[in-house]
Amino acid sequence: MKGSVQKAQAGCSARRAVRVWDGPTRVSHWALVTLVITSWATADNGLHTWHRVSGYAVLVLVLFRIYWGFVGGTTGRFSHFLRGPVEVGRYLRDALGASKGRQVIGHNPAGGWSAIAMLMTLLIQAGLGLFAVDVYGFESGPLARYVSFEMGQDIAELHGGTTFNLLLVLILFHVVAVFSYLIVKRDNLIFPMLTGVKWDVGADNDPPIVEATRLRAAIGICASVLFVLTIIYGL
Amino acid sequence: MPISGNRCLKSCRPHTTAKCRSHNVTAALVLCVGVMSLAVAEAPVDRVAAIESRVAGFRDMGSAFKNLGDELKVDQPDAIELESAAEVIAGYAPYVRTWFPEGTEPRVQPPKGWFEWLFDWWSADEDYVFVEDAESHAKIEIWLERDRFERAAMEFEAMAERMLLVTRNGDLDEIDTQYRELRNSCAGCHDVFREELD
Repeated sequence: MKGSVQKAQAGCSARRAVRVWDGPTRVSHWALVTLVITSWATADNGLHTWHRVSGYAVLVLVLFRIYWGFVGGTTGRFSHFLRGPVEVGRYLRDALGASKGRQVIGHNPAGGWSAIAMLMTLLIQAGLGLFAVDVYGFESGPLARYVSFEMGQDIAELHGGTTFNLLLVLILFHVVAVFSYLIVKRDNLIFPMLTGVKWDVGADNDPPIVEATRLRAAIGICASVLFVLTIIYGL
Repeated sequence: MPISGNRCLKSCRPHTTAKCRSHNVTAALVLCVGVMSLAVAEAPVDRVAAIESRVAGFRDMGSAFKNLGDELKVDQPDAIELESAAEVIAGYAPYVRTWFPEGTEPRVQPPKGWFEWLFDWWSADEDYVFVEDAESHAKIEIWLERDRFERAAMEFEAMAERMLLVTRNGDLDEIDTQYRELRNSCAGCHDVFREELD
């Protein structure tokens, strides 16, 4: 099936431009980039209200992205990019080798796990923020009343320390990997994440994306917003 | 029988050996107490105990603040919870001025090398701070600007008293307003007198 699609699309020329990322995946990616920076800046400058709003938005997007990983466009689906250790190892061997390696439509086997790690860390980070309490007992997440002052502080330490640093390390790996592809392998991964289109794709690559409907995206975003609003005001 | 040979510390009048021994014991006790009280008077404050005690006090107040905030977030706050939290804060407030005696001021921390900096950044562990004995975020300004600090502490004390009063009255709007006032009073003091390490 894959092969026939590839051949059909690669019929005219050997290299082509294909659509690799759908709108919701790209929007959630760049919105998360913006929100992580916003959350960091607001936390560092004591803008607690804005930090909370930014954290809620992160939670909405992460929940949406998880939903989209099951029902979204093909390249964004977990089933599309999560591969076993053997395949990840084989891909890394190829990628780190001298050749340009196989171009992948969507996440490559190693990048897929990196994306999962980042999503999970963001989910944990935002989740911890809901229970965190500051050192004075003045500022706290919306669910902090369910934990003691001491536990809230321990959670805040994790939130501002270990999980935040883990997130920074994952982001650093991601950015270094993306720029390594750009500089060493001449494979621009940033442009497709901005426009959704990947140029100069070899004929022997995976098929392009099959997109999900806008209604499905709307349902996902509404459900995520409602869920987070319930956490903030309903619990 | 007048004493002979024994040297009594109280030798103004002749007296018995037993009486003499009793005088000597008393004198020794008086001397001991005197030396001890002199030592107590001149001994430096138990720095670690004093710092730990004030940190514990501030943490109790933090916990009470959280309880106040938690209650004020819900639709129908529990009056008893509000009052007991306000009681904790009002109970500690008069002692804040006494929690920073001479000898508990911050000591210069050794400069951090790149490894310590990296480890600190990575672990973000508040306990991992290079101090000699106890961790304290108190700034030296508390000791340098004592009058200003005392005034701020007294203002806080008055605010805490008022907080207790309004929680007893039970008017939610008043409680909410006073909670913000009290918080501002704390924050105003922290801005000047507390090192922001976290």
